[in-house]
Amino acid sequence: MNRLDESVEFAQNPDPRCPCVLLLDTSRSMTGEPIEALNEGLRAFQTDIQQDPLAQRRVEVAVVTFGGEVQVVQEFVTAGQFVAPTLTTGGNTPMGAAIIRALDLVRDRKAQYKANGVSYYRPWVFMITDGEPTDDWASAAQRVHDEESADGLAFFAVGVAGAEMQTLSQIAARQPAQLRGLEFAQMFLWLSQSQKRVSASKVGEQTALPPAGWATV
Amino acid sequence: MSDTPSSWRVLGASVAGSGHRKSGRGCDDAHAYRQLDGDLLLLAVADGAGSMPHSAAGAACAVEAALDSAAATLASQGIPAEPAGWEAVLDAALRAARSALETLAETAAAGESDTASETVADATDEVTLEAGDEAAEPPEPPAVPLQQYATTLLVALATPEFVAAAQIGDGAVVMQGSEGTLEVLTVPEHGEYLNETTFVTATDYLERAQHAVRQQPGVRALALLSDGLQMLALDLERNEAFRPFFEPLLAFAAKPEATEAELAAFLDSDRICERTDDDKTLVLAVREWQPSDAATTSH
Repeated sequence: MNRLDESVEFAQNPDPRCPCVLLLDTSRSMTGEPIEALNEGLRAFQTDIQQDPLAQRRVEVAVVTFGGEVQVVQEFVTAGQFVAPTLTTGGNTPMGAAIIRALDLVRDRKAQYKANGVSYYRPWVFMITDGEPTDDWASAAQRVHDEESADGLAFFAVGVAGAEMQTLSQIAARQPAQLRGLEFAQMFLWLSQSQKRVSASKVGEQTALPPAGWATV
Repeated sequence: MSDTPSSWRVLGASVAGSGHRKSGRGCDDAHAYRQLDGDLLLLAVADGAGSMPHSAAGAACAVEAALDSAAATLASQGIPAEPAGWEAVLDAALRAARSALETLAETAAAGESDTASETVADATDEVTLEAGDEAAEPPEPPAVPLQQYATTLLVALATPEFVAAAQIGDGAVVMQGSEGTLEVLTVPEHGEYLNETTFVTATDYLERAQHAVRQQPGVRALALLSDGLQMLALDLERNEAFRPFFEPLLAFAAKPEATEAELAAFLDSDRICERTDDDKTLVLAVREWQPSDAATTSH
């Protein structure tokens, strides 16, 4: 038996955090198959991320939906405690307001980390939409670009069939991806894998969404 | 080991992290140490950037180049009597590491192997003669981008009177003074995000380097660690050494029967791998009790 194993103790430092906001379109057009597939994707995300002991403690998930109104369905919670919500649909698409809400969540979370001496990785905001904004999105787009230029977070946009990709490319600083069919589960698995990688110590970061797999080229 | 009577017991181990093994990647950490005539101890640790293809080679090259430079400077210019002199020795070592990486990158496509030893020998000769001089002619575009050899670098030098440390990036150098207290000489450095740190390949690597020089007769031990261990070994909020981590390890290293294999096995243990899947390096140097030290060391 290795005696060092018995005698050496470890410092208790707070786990570093990897915050991820899921920004999800729950407008009327997502009714039926799309929202069912999305909900299933969320469950796939939960299952996958909870298989990784490090990611469970480090990844933090928040869920913001936009369908009629903007709703914070889930405040930041550690991935180990995350329970995939079952989302319902309705209303139009206040994407601009939802983006601002998501960015505010990230900003406030960082402030909390700093106040508590918790280190963290670059936050992600992962937006999924099947339409176009029905509200004013110009200032939201500006904030996304400002945050990205300051390297304050990474904002990814994914368009489901019917999404206005042109608008999405103006909002997101990075090229938006288009979901193949309703392959949410695959996409969420990719997201979980990426978050696991980011939350491991020193790995290169995802800078762009991959064209293969769940996205169409 | 050399034939000269050594004053330090040194053990070092670099172990691939479980995350790296999962992805089929070897260990990107490297370490080196030397004990030289005149009671001179040289230690170095480097952690290659996980996202870069040649960072393991970069780390291996950096530690050797840094210690070659330090050894050569101290041999030719003598042991500094003032902190400023030590900072110059440290900076020369950091520059030598940088230069060696540049040479590695430049010669890579020419089909030469990127073993550390050949390129390091050439690079350090130039650097120690003309420390601080830039190359006269504009460099040709590197065959392989320098970034691909990105690595952090930690260097510690000790004589009976002085301890000098320099660090680029994360990890830490910890010293145990004559009274037994542990001091973190250089601390983990990262930007806003935990997984982003400075590498020797950065443009401003020298400005961002930390330096620590202590006039420390009676130093009892030194420890260098790469960032895979920093969460376990340090109170990161206060940047203080966690005593229950270091004390058993230093006691272990002081024993004549302790082996590097045991140290490596410990770094690879389940208890550690549960807390970090990064590569781990730990170099422990414990000063052996010499009769002539009785006057300087208090017990």
